[in-house]
Order: sequence, then structure tokens, then C-alpha cells
Amino acid sequence: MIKLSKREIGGLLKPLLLLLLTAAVVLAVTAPANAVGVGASPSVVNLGTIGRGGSATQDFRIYNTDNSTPLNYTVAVRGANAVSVTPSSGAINPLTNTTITVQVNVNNSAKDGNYSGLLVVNSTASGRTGQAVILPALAVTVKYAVNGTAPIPQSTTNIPIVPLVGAVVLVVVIAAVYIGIRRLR
Amino acid sequence: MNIKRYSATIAVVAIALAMLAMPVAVVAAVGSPGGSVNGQFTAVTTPTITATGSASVYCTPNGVSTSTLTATVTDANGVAASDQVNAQLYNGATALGAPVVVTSGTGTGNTATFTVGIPFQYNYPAGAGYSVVLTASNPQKTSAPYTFSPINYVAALGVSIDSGSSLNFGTLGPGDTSATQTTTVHDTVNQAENLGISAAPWTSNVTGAASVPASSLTSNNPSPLSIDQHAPIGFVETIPTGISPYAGTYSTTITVMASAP
Repeated sequence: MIKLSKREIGGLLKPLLLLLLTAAVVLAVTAPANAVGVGASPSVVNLGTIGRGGSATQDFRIYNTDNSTPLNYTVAVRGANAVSVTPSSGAINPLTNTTITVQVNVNNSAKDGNYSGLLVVNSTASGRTGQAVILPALAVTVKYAVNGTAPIPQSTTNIPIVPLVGAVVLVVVIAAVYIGIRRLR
Repeated sequence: MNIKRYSATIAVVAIALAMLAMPVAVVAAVGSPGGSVNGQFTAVTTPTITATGSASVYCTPNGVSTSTLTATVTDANGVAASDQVNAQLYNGATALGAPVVVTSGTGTGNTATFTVGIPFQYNYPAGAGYSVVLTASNPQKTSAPYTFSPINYVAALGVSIDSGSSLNFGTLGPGDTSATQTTTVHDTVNQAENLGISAAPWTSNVTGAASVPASSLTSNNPSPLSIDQHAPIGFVETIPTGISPYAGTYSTTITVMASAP
């Protein structure tokens, strides 16, 4: 049986405590920081060819590619005044996506040609602190072409078919009666 | 010798053996299209297959997109439960991923439809050169291959910060340069990307303090990132000499913007 004095026990515990403290510090340093990721599909939103006075819409999706952190995003249009997006901000849960609708309204004075701009998808720091926070962002291309004037929508008037047929029949009957009376005379 | 007693036993054993053998013979005949039932052989047939589906597949950043094809299989002997469809994705002549096997279709008689899900990984390159080759098979024969093409795998954009999404440069004074702080970024889509790295001006928690010039924060830029590449970005903060920032905590945001090359 080995007997240890208090001094010897203290001598053994000291390095053990130091080892435990060192392990705690290492864990704190190597704990993974919050990962964050954003994606967009497709990378080019093509609204096609639109006439002056016309409009077009096209969807694209923003993805939160991280598996644990919600993503707060904003979408801003740069270099294409006729283009707008809905919604322009929001939050996306981990590993899910949201649909953004892009719309272009071509005014009557627009010139024929190809137009392009950027849809800048920014993310915001959600729950992250530090001297410098890194924010992933995307620059999605948006493009469209203007050619000619959009056709004016034709206004249509619905003529009720039953009264119309009734009126024709009435006219025919009146004409037949008139002719019949004249022949009888 | 009691012949009568033995003959009765033999008769019982013979009947029992016959009863055991009968179902085996029937199963052997029915289970095989080339076998015989009541002495008549059924012909071995070769199935045929066609398929329809979408000509475009949109990439799911850092994930998997599934292109769903509807395969129609016709077999003159009937599309039995043992018929199956095999499908293989190609980019040009290169097979991608494991073959997809679908063992159950819907339908009756000679025609059945099989729903075939083809997975597209985020790191398959974007482009219009994709195709799916499908075959149908019964236990004896395999159909001629049917190629569904072209399929356009539409390019996407995506970047993730895998580590170092919050950086600390420590305590610095005028003329000091920090240790390099590293962020790891990842191209999470089906095309190469360029990165634009920009930092907002440092702001301080000290009211009225002048900001440290943003130009003091420098980094490398690993552009272009190739598909699925993980790359480090090193940031270094240098406090210019000749300025006297207030003591306090300064912070900034750094944007890493991915764009098509």
C-alpha cells in the first residue's frame, strides 16, 4: 500500500489542474465560428425582349446554404432603373430558400437595345460579434432587351348572343308579316 | 411378409411426394417468361423505353437538385413487377454519379411508367452538355438505350464563409501591424466565381472618435475560385503612423461578393 502525504498529493493535482485549464482554453479557441453562406439560382436573370410600355417578370431563388444559422438578406438593384424586386429583404431559415420576383417596366421613351444591371444580394450579421464580421454577398446579373412598342391591349366588348339572336328573329318575323300583308292586299 | 401393409405405405409416400413436387413445377413455369405452362412456351421479349422531362435543371447551391424524368416502358409480355429501369447521367461522355435503378412502375398491361430522379450535385459544372441514358430490362432482356438530351444545368452563384466569419485583430496602436487573420471561403455552386472584397470604414464605440482609415485593412484575393474550391483569405490591419485614434473598440464589416467570371 502506497501512502501519499498532503504535499505529494498537491504536487500531483497541480499538473492535473493545469492540464484541465489548458484543455479548456484550446477548446475555446478552436470552437468553430458561425459559418454563413448564401447562394442564388440562376446567376443570370433574363427578362427577355420587351416593347416600350411593356413589362415582364422573372423569378430567382436565394438560398441559405448554412445548416444552422438563419440568413438575413437584402436585394438591391444597381444600374437598371426600370427593374424592381419583391421582396427586397427577408430572412431564410437554414438549408431553405426563398423566391424573389424581378420585374421590369419599360417606359415609353426607352430606346431599343440591350440593358443589364446587377441584383446585389447582401447578407447581414445575425448574432455574430467581432472586430470584423465577414458578410457573404452575390452579384446576380439581370438583363433585358427593348425592341419596338408593346402592343396595346385590345379592349373587347361582349355582345350578349341571346338578345342579338332574338332581335334578328324579331326583324325577320316583322319583315315576313309585312310582306305577307302586302301580298294579301 | 405383409405386402398389403407395405403397398399402402408406398402409395401414401408417392402421393405426398407428388403433392410436394407439383407447386415447384408450377412456380418454375410461371416465374420464367421463357418457361412453359401446360406445355406451351411464352416468347422472350425485349422491352422498349422512352422518356420525357425538363430540359433545364437549376443548381441548388451547396446541395443537390433532382431532375425528374418520366420513363415509359413497353413489354409485349406485360410489364411485370420484375421489370426495372436503369438511368445514368452523363456530361458529354463522362458518367456522373451512380446509376439510378427504379424497380417499380405504375400501369397495367404492356405499358408502365417509371419516375426516375436524377441527382445533380452542386459541384457538377454548369452547361448544356448533359444527357441521361435509360434502359429497361426484364429478367431476360434489356432494351436498347434511350438518350434523353440535351439537359442544361443552369449556372448559379454561391459563396460560404466556412471559418473565420468573425475576426479579431487584437489591440493595436499607431504604426502597429496585426497578425494575419484568416477567413476560409468556399465556392458552393456549379461555376467558377470572382470575388470582390471590400471593407466598410472602422467605426468606434467612442463617441466623437475619428474612424481608422479603412484602407489600413488589406487582404489577398484568391479569385477566380474554381468549382468547390475552399480558399483562405488573409486580412492584415495596419494602423497608420501619424494618427491618434481614440482608445476604444473599433469594428467593421467586410463583404465578400461573388460574381460570375
